Amino acid sequence: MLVLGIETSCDETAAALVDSGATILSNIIATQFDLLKKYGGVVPEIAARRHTESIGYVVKEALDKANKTLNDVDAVAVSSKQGLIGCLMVGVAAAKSISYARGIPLIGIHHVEGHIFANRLSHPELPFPHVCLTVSGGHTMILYVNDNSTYELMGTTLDDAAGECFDKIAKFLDISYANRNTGGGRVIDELSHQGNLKAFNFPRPMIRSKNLDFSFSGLKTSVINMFKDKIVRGESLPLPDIAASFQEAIVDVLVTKTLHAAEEKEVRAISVTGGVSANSRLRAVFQETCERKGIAVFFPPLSLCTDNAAMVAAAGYAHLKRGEFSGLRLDVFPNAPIGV
Amino acid sequence: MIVLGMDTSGYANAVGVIDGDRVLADASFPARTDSLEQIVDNIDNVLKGVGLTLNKVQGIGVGLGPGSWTGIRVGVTVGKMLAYASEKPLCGVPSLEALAWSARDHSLPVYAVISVGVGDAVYAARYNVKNDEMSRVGDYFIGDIKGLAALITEPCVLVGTGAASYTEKITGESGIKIKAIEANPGGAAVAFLAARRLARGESDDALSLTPLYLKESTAKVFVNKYKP
Repeated sequence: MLVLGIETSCDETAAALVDSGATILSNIIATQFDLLKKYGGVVPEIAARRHTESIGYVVKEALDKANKTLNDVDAVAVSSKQGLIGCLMVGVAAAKSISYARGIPLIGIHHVEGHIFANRLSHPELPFPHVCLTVSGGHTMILYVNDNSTYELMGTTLDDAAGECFDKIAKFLDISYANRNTGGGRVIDELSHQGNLKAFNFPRPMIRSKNLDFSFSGLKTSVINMFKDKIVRGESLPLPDIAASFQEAIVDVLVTKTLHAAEEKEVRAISVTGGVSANSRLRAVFQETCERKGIAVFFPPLSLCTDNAAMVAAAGYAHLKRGEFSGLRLDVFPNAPIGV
Repeated sequence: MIVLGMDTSGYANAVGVIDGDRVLADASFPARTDSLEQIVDNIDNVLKGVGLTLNKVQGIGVGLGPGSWTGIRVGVTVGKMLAYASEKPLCGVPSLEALAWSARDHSLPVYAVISVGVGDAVYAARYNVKNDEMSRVGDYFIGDIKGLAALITEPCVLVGTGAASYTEKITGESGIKIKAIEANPGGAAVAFLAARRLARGESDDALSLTPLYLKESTAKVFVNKYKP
């Protein structure tokens, strides 16, 4: 059963064809990075306009690359929950039009559920139930995941998402977007390889709190204050050390809390998804810690870490199998919660 | 030729169906914030209401704007993806032209006006009507009512949502006699204008068609001004 996935929740226009929720036939992502870099981030109106320009081409390319036509497509799944409202709307408008014109089922998907399926797609052996950390520019959530697509939200960020914190610090240090041809998270990851991760002892916000929530805005302020302090004192600014120490603080909090969640639920598997799951230090620390504790940890391949439509198609297939569809009146819910 | 027309640039989902010279349906559904939720369902209901399915439609017309940025993004995306997925020819129609179409029987120049949604700023265009042929005269106008009043130098028809209040202000400025027609860009009007282009063998590429915003986003204007 062939599902067309569509994803436009932020700044990637994406479409993919996935067979039976398992085999990716095509996974097309038109990034808006070049368009948005002069703004230093995502401008919702500009991103939404670009989605409208790109969506048709991206869908066609997904079909062409898979050597299929819309005749072969059995259903269309689209991110309709969580994201930028104007951006989500373009994907949903496109998906419901295709659904109506072809008489095929339409399935609205929670974007974070899509991220969860990125790992299910790449690791069919991923056991249930498990604990999933979804960490990106828009989310930092710990979820307890059952096989039947029900989710319990165990913890979430109270302010910035971890990825947002990466991007903002990179922007502050003037090492992101405009200066290098990549996003802030990747720049800090690369720079950190040359730095000492113990050079600065940045705070680990909420690491000892009893709940599984996160907060990253204080860490951000701490890095910025330290940086300004050094400028005032005329001291040198070791960017690689700052980057490595800052990254270590985030990684430490993410890994510690996710492991607490796994212990609380007594699960032996952890899944890490979202853009920040591409971070090499996060992967290394998770692997090392989980190995010590006898817990299996799963990461998607880099191509499925950031926003993509293959994960949306895979999530759509799971709903389809249970006979869950959306009607033609499908709407967008930019702040829809996931789980309970 | 059966043509489906739609426009979501204003405070309504307009959906119409024509067959040659005949209007089969010309519906308008109030929609301020729920255009996306309604539009495809509205299209389905209008088609069913006249005993048709999308299969029987031979061409699709879509209002391009100007108007609500979100509204025209929804309408144009639906129009282009319906046309792409059903392999039907597509024509984008400026929403101002669809408005002017509904005021074409007065043998006077027609000014079509759509609110920008900020202060008393409007998008406007002048259309001349001759032997049932409409043509836009000059560029699109974006500015306040005072600026529009300065352009109107002869008796005319002014059509749009809030036409009466615009007309009052303009007549107050210049004393020129203006006939006000209250209207939204209509679905059947979009369908007629699309059908005319289709009959001439013209159509738009579904994949590349984009809305007629007429204004850049505020962020782009700012960046171009201060960080060129």
